[in-house]
Amino acid sequence: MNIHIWKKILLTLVVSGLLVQTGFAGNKRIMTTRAAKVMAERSLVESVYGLKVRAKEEVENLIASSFVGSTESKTSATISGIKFEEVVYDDTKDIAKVTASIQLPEIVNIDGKTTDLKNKVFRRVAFATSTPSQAGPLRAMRAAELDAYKQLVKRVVGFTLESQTSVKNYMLVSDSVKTKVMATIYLAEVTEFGWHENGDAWVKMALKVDEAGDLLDQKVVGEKEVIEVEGAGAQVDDFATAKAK
Amino acid sequence: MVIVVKTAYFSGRLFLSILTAGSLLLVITWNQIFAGNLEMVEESVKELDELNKKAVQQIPDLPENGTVDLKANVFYKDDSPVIDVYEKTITTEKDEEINFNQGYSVDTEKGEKQ
Repeated sequence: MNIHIWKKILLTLVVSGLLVQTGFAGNKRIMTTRAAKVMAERSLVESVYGLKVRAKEEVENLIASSFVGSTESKTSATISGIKFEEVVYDDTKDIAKVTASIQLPEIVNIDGKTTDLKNKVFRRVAFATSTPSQAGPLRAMRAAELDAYKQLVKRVVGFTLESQTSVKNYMLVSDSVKTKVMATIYLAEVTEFGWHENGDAWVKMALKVDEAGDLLDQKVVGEKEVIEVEGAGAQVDDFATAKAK
Repeated sequence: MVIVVKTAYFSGRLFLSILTAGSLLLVITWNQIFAGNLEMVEESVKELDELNKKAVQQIPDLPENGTVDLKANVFYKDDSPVIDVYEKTITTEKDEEINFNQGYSVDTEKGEKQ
């Protein structure tokens, strides 16, 4: 009699456990998807409204371990009209991918100038996860985006170079080389992105000079109609490991 | 009993062999799986060196031995960097006997003699 009761209790618990697992998925999916939407919104703000980019690179005696490179970005805007075209959630990896777009006639950009966007559709894709172990590829992608922004700014407005060089028997040896750039950029579009087999991310970014040239107060040099750059980002910091050795 | 012990012994050895081989394979292929940022840093260092050398070579009358400190604005024209050096300091170094029994003249930009 007692055994039967215990069997029933055990069966009830097992069934209840299964029901809870299948019936209530938890908030991970919702949080990840929301985070991806926020990332997509940020990307669109960066493209349409613009962003400030500050970057510097420094190397001493051509030794890679002395290299210091940093890129900072900043943007803040109130924007409405963003549409989420597609939301994809990978349950096994806990990664969400969101495609967002915006179509506006004009916008007051980061420099306070009114930009005629001619109702062009701007589209960006963003990823997010709530699981730290899955964040590697996403961090690499953001690093690649920032690298692309930096390259684009350097191409559009130029940068400053400061160096100390030794000359020995007419041979040049770079003792210290520094580069710096700080500028705002807008209307940059991501044309392609992806990951290499080794996990490194790449982002192709383009800026149409005829669209941005009149708006950018800074000089846009060159005769090319489109400035294209490719940014790179890594998942693994093997530079820090090599530096420690 | 003997069979059970032998089977367990061989299973343990097999497990250890697989574990060792797996670890070795992981170490060998790790660099190929994750390339990391070291390669990117090395590429940046190479680019900075090439850019600086290009800037220094623009300066006329470089000394045989010495140092060159420069500041420049770099912008791109048709995918190529254009370097505009706006400040430079050249220090010449040479090996020569310094004689305390003679006077030296210094030519300044204003042509003053000290």
